[in-house]
Amino acid sequence: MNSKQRINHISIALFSVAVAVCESVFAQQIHEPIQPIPVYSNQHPERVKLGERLFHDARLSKDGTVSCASCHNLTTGGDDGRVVSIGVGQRKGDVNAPTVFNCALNFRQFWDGRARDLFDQIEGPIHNGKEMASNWPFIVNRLKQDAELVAVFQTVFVDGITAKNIKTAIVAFEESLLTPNSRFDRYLRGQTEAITVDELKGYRLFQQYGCISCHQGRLVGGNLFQKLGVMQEYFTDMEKVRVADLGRFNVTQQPQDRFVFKVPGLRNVALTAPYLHDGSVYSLQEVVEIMMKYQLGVRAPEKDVALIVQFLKTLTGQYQGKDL
Amino acid sequence: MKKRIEEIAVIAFLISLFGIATELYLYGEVDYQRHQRRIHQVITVQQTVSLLITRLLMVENDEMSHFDSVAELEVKLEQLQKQLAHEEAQLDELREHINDFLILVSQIKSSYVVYRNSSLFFPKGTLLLRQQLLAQKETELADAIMQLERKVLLFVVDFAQQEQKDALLREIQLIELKGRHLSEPLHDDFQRLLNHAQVLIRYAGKLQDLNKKLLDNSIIKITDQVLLVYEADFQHDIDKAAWVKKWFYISIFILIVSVIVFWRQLRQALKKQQSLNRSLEFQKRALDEHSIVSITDVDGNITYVNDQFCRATGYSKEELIGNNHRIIKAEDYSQTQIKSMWDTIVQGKVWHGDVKNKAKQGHYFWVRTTVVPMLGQDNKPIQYIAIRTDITENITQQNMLEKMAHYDVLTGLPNRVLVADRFKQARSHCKRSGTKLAICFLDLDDFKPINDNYGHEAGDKLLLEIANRIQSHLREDDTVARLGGDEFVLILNDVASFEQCKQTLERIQNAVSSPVMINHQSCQVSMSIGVTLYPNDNSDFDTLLRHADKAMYQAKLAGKHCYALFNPERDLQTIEKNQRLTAIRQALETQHFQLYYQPKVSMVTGAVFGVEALIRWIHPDKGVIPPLDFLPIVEKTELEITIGNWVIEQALKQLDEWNKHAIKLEMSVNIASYHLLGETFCTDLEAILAKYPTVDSKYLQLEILETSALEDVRRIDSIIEICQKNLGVKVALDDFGTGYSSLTHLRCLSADTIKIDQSFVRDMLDDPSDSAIVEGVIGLASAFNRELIAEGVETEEHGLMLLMMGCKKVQGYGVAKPMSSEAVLSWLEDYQPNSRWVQYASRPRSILESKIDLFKLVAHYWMKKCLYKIESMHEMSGSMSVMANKACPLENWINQIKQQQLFPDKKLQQLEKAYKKLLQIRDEVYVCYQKSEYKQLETKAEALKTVFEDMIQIVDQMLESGLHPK
Repeated sequence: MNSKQRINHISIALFSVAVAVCESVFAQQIHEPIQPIPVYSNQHPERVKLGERLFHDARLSKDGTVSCASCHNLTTGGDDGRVVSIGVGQRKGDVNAPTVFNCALNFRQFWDGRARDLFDQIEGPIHNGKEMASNWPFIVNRLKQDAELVAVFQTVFVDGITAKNIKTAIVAFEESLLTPNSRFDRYLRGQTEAITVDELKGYRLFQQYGCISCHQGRLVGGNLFQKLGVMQEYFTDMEKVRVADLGRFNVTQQPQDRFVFKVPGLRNVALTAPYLHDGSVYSLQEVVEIMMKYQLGVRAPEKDVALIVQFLKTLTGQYQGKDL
Repeated sequence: MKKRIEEIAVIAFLISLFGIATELYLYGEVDYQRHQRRIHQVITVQQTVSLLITRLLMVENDEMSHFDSVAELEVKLEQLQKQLAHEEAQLDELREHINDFLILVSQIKSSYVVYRNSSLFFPKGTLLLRQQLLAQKETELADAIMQLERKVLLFVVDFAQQEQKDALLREIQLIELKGRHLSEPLHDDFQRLLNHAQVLIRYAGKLQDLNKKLLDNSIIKITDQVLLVYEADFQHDIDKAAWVKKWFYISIFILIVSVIVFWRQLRQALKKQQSLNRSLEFQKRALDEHSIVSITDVDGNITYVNDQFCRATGYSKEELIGNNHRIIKAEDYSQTQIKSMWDTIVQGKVWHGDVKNKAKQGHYFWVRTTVVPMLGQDNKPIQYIAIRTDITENITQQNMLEKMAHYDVLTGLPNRVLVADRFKQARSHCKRSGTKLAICFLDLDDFKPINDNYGHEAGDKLLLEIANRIQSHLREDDTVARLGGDEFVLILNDVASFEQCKQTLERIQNAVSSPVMINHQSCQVSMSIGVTLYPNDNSDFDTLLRHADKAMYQAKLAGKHCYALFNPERDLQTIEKNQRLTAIRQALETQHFQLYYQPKVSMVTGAVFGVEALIRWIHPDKGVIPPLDFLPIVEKTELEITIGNWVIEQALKQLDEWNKHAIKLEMSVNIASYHLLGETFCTDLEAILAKYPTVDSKYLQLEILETSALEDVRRIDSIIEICQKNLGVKVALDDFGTGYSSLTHLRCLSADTIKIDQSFVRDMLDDPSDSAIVEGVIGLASAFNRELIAEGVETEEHGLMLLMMGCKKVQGYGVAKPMSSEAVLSWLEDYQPNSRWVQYASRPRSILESKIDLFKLVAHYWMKKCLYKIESMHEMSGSMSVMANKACPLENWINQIKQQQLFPDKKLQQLEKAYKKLLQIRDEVYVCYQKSEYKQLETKAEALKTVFEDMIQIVDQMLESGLHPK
C-alpha cells in the first residue's frame, strides 16, 4: 500500500465518521424548516469595536457624507426605509437596500448574489458611483491623517491601517449583527407560549401555502435563488423593465437567470419595508398577496394573509439584548 | 605560478564537489507536506461534492426541510474552488466543473421549490375546483379535471416519456378551451389549476434531468484523475529523489577519494621536501666547512653568513646581517672588477674572480669568489650566494714573486726585466721627440774586497747605499736598475748629446765615491761607467747593454773612476766574437761537442726517472769548456738553432741507444728562446722525432727558459701546445723563480713541469727569503697542478727540506754530477737510493709534523754550522754571518708557527724563551771571538748544545700537544 492510498483510506474513514456525527445532530431539527438564529460568540471584540466605528465613518465615502450606516441604520431594522438608497451627491441607487442584520447568514450577498461573502460585498458600495464613490488608497490615506484612529488600528492590527484591515474590522462587526431571541425562535426552542394561537395559525398557513419552500432555514430565506414570477410573469410590460430587474442574469448572462433574485430572508421583515428588490411594495399584506399570486399561484383569503402577516411579525429579534 | 594555479584548481575542484553534493542533498528532499496538502484539497472537494449531493437529495426526499446546510456546502465548495491553485493546469477543468455543478445545484433548488409547491397544491386545488365545478353543474369539466389529475400524478410518479408529456400538455390545452365559458372567479381558479398541472409536468422532467445530471457529475472522476496526476508527480519526485541521492552519494564518494588522493600527494611532496631538505642541509654543512659563504639580496644586503665568514672578516653575524656587502670591500678595490661582477650576476650568470677584502681589524685578505645568482620564477635574480676561499697566502706569494720578477730584492731597484721594459718605453718616447737615449753600464771598482773583508751583509749595505745615492741624483724620467752583484744600469732620457750626459755621470760618480760608514768603519768605493747612445748605436736592448758593458770595461782599463762612450767602429770584440763563432761552428762540425747527463731522482721511491742533457765542448787543447763560456756567443744567431737541433738529435739518439738496453729515462733538453721562437722549430722537431720512430716522444722534455716567455707569451704557449698535443713532447719551465719568471706567464703557459732554480735551492737552508721563495713556488706548482723538480740539491739536508715542503723530485750534486753517456750506465748499476729520503717519504705527515720536522732540520743545520764555526774560529776564515746575522733562519720559522696559531700559546712562549737564550749564548760566543778569548769557547759550545737540546725537546712537546690537543 503506497502513501497515496493510505492517505485516501484515512481521509475516507475520517469523512465517514464526520458525516455520521453531523447527521445525528441534524436529525433533531431536520423536520423543522425554520431554524433559530444562533447566539453570536464574539471572537475578536476589539475588531468588532473598530468595525462598528468604521461602519459609522463617513470618511469612507468620496465627499465624506455617506457611511455604511447611512443606508443600513441599525435603529431602523438595518436598512434605510427608502425605496432605493441615496448615495454621494444625492444620487439614487438601483435597488432597495437590504437589512444589514443577520447579513452574515446569507449564502451570497446582494439581490443578484454577485458577492460571494461580506468581504466581496464591501467593495460594491465603496466603489459604486451612486453610493460612496470612493477607493481604498483614498480611504487609507484619509484615515491615516487621524492620529487617534491610527493608534487604535495599531493596537488591533500589527500593520496598522490597510484596506484589508479596514474590511476585516467591518466584516467582524457585520458578523456580530445577529438578532436572536425573536418570539418565534423562543417558540422553536420550546416556549410554546411565546407566540399567540393566531400567529401559530399564520405559521401553519405559511407552511400550507408553500411559502416555507423558499423561506426556510435560519434566515427564513437567503439560501437560494428563485425567479420572481414563477407561476405568472411578474414583469408583464417589458418596456418598463430596468437592468436591475434582470437580477442574476446580470451576473451569469444565462437566459434562465432572467428575473432571478436571491430569496430574501424574512427575519425582522416587519421592520424592513418597503419590500422587493425595487422597494415597490410598502406593506407586508400587499407583498404576501403578490407572493401568493406570482410565486405560488394560489388565491388566499384575506384572513389567511392577515394571519401570515401576524406570523411574520414574530420573526423580529433582539440586538444586543434589546428588541428591535 | 603554475604551482599556484594548480593549487587553486584543486581547491576549486573540491569546493565545487562539495557544492554539488550540498545541492544534490537539498534537491533530493521530497516535499511530503505539499503533496499531502494537494491531495487533501482535492479530496475535500470530493467530500464536499458528495455531501452536497447527499444533502440536496435529503431535501428533495423531504428528509430535510431547509436549504441551510446545502447553502453552507455551496459556499464551502465555492471557497474550495477559489482556493484551487490556478497555476495547475489539471485543476482548470475541475474548477469549470465545480462551477457547472454549483449552477446545477442552484437550478435544482429553485426548480424543486416550484415543483414541491405545485405538487402540494395540485391535488388539494383539484379537489376544491371539482367541488366548485359540480356546484355550477359543470360535471364534464369536473370529470376532465379529475382525469387530468390522475394522469398528471401518474406521469409525475412514473417519470413519463416525452410523448406522454406532449399529450398531456395538449389535453390541458383542450380542457382550457372547454372551460373558457366559466365565469370569474371560477375561471381564475380553473386557469390556476391548469397552470400548476403544466408546472408539474414540466418540472417533473426537468427536475429528473437535473438530478440525473447532478448524480452523473464528473467531479469525482476528474478529482480521481487529478489525484492520479498528483500521485504520478509524487512518484516522479520520489524517483528523482532516489536518483539525486544516488548522485549525492557518488559525489560524496568522489569528494572523499579526491581528498585522500590530494592528502597523500601532499604527504609525499612533504616527505620528498624533507629528504631534499636533509640533503641540502648536508650540502650546506659541507660547503660551510670548506668555504666562506654569504647570501645577499639583489641590492647586496647581507641576509646570511656562515661562521667562516665571520672568522675571516672579524665581524659578528649581528653586525653583518642587514648590512650591505660593501662593508668588507677594500678601499682600493677594482671598480671594473665590481662592475663586471654586477653585470654578470644581474644577468643570472655565475661570476668567478679573486677579490680583495678588508676585515674589521683593518687587514686585507684575498678571496677566490664564486657568486651564484639564485633565480626567481621570472628568471631574474632574487638573491646571490657568494662562496669564497681564502687565497691571501697564494696572492701574497704571487705578489712577492711578481715583485721579484721586476725588482731587485736587495735594493728595491728595477731589475733587468723591468729596465728592458722601461727601455722600450723610452725608445718610443725618443723616437717621437727626436732626442737621444743614454744607456749606461755602472760597475763599482774594488767591491769584492769589501765583501770578503766585511762579509756579504756589509756588502749588501754598501750596495743599498750606493743605489740610494744614484737614485737621488737622477731625474724622475730616468731609470736605474740593478743587474746583479755590483752592476747597475742607467737609462737617461732626453739626452741632447754625450756632453750633456757627462754632467749627470760625473755627479753620480762623485756621489758614489764619497765615504760610506760600514760597521763603524769608513770605506770608499769608486765607479766605472760605460755609455752608449741610442739611436746612434741602433741596436736592441741586450746589444746596447753589451756595448755599454764594453765601454765600461774600457773605462776600467783607463784607470777606474772614469766613464767612456762606446765606439762601434773601434769594437774589437765584434771581430773577436766572429772569430769565436767560427771556432764554435768548427767544433760542431768536428764533433767536439758532447752531451753530459745529470740524473733526476724521485726522493719518494728513490728511483732514477730521468736525466737532463747538458752540452759540453771537449776542446782538444783547453779541455772541457762549460756551456756558459760559449753559448752566450751564439745567442740569437743561426748557429744557436743549429746547436739546439743537434742537441735534440743527440738526445734522441741516446734515448734510442738506452732503449736497446731496456733503460727508460726521461730526457730533458734545454731550448734557447731564439731557437724556440724560430719559425722552423716545430717542423724541425717533428723531423728529428721521425728519425727515431722507436723512441716514444713522451720521454723527451723541452726545458724552456722563462726569459723566452718575455718575448711573446701567446706565441710561446701556442708552440708549447703544438709540442705537447701534436708531438707528444713534454715541456718544463726552467730556472723558475730567478726573477725573470713571471707568475702571470706560469698561469698562461701550459708547461707540464716547473723546475725550481738552483740558486734558491742552494741557499734555502741559510736564507729565509730563499726558502720562502721555494715554498711559494712549491705552493704555486700544486695550485696550478704542475709537476715539480728542484735543481741544485747539493746535500741530503737539501733533499729532506724539499720533501718537508712538498717537493718530491730532485736533481743536483747531492744526487750526481753530469756525466758522459758511458758513465751513466755504470752509475746506474752502482746507484743506491738515499735511505733517509726514502724513509722520510715513506710515512705521510701532517702539516704540524712537517712544520716541526722542518724546524728541527733547519735548527740542526744551523747548529751544525754554528759548532763548525766555533771550532774553526781561530782560523779566521769564511763568513761569520751565522754568528753575527740577526736574521737567523730559526726566527723566521718561529714567527711563521706563531702566525699560523697551530700550537698552544704556552708552548710557543717556552720555545721563544729557549730560542732567545740560544741567541744570547751565540752572541756571547761572538763576543768571545771578537775579544779573541778562545778558551771560553768550549764551555760556551757546551752551553749552546744544552739549550739547543732543550729547545728541540720543547718542539717535540709542541708536536705532541698539537697532535693531541686537550
